[in-house]
Amino acid sequence: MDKKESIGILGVQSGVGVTHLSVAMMEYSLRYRRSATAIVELSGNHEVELLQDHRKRSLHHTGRAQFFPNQSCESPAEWVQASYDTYIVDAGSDYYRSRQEFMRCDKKIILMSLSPWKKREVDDFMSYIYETGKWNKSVTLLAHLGKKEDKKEFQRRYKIPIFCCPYIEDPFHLKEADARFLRTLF
Amino acid sequence: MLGRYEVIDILGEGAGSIVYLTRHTKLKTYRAVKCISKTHSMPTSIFSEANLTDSLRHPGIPMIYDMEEDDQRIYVVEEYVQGESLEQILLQQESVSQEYIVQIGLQLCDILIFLHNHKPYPILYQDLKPAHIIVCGNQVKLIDFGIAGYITNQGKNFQNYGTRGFAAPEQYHGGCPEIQADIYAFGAVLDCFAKKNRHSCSKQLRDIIAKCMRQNPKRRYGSAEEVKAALNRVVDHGRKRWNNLLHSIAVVGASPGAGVTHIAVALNCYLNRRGQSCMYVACTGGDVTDCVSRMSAAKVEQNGCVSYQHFLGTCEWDTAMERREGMCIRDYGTDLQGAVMEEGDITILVVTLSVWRQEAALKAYEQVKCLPNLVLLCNGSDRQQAKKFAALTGRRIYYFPYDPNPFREYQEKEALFTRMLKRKE
Repeated sequence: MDKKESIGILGVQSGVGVTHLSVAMMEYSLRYRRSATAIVELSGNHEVELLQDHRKRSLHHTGRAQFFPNQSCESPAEWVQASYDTYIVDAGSDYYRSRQEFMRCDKKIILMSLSPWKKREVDDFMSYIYETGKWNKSVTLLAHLGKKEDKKEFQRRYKIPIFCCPYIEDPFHLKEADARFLRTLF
Repeated sequence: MLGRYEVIDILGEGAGSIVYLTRHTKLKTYRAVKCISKTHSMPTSIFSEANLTDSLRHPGIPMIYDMEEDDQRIYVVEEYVQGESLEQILLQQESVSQEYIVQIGLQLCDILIFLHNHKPYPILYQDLKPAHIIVCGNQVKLIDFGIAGYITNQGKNFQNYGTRGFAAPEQYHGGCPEIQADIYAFGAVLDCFAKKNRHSCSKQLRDIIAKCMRQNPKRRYGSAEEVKAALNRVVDHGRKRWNNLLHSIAVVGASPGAGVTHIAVALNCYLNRRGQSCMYVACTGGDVTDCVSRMSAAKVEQNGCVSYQHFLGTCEWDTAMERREGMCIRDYGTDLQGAVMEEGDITILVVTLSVWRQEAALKAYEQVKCLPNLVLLCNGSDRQQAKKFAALTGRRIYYFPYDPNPFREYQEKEALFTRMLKRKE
């Protein structure tokens, strides 16, 4: 890898699987792309910190990754100074808190659930994006769950493509199908 | 004519006719208005269909409210039937349980009993098929009486029509069909479902279907009452007496995003599919039921209950408590204290066992382990993690399979729920 790249992942709803996808992407970056990879936590939910503790006890590929838990969005970040090829930025689900750093990422992924009882949060989020003019065409939208009709309705309503995020059972042990999907995100 | 009704959407189009979804401008009620062009259709047949169904009052038959005509069109104002046809359900569902087939069959029998016992003349429906059967929540309705007719003293007063694959053999040969023609079609409809469920359809049910579909009408069941009695014997034979043992199931999660609502909705649909009348209640003030009510084909009943496919839910705890029969699924979200205080007959703790969620899962388990009928359910993690958690807690843990749609029936999910609830009976 000649150039540093940062990939931000943001969730529209809490618990939608941002950290899960971040770990999967980190694994893919380490194993398949053999890229020096760091994972940065902006969400403040300490999940990456717990992952770091697990890394110390495991011999898995995560042993080669660097973790930057509990990073602040306001003050200058140590991870920016570090020399990794790939940064996976776990922006959690608080868009208002982590939007600045998220929007600075080279690639931006927004993850959401289209279950009927989660649609209100999707509508609120998309309204905010449209009203503030923050929409950026470099963003990739991914959806968990929801029926095909839900995705079609989303695309019809917001005129933005949205792709299905397949179920990755174990982000530490990627299957071939998982790797094929993750390749498209890079 | 349409001045009294505001057109909302087009429900369907055919040769020479369009069906609109409308709302009465003053009453604010929804109606289906069928507009039939006089140049394409036989007005007498339309009027005879309307006259025939106008006199029928049954929960399984949509009401006709009004009929008018002008120079070019005839307008028939009918009850708006919200739901999905059995044809759509057959396409969408991976498999269908025997209990569901029998429940549909029993309701269809009630409608046929009503039609065949109509006074002064029995009515032969003649076009029974999945596309004409609509499921609205737990209610089955029969639509399109276009070729139905009376069996009068002078014999029949209608032409022989039908749909290939569902019409009785005597309808093809120009014979004089009797009510056994409807019995044949009924068997053909159940057969469509039974084919999706070959491995777990009992011999009893297969025999009933075979008898309905015998070539010789005299060898079929003599009436819809006989078919109903036979189906009831299947129900009695296979029924699990859950109602006597389980009244409420609480579902609570260890952390946000664990999938509590998804699992509660899936369990609600599973129980309703099996004829165990079940109501979903959100106990944490969420708007789940409200969100479901906005889905197309969802139906909102007068008491505020919402039904969609097999889902039945309410926002009102009082409405759920008023129900004397059936079960209740209570969605507590992540309110562990609430779940402990209002102890259900079963409490399901949903955990995700990702590395970064294990601590939260253990803490949640510590809060609820005092409950006597606690069931641990792992969602969205790998099985190895689930096994480790089981070893840590000394309890059996179930693994919820990937479930893209909680309203649909998937074999793995159904089998899991059956195992989970059987153990706790």
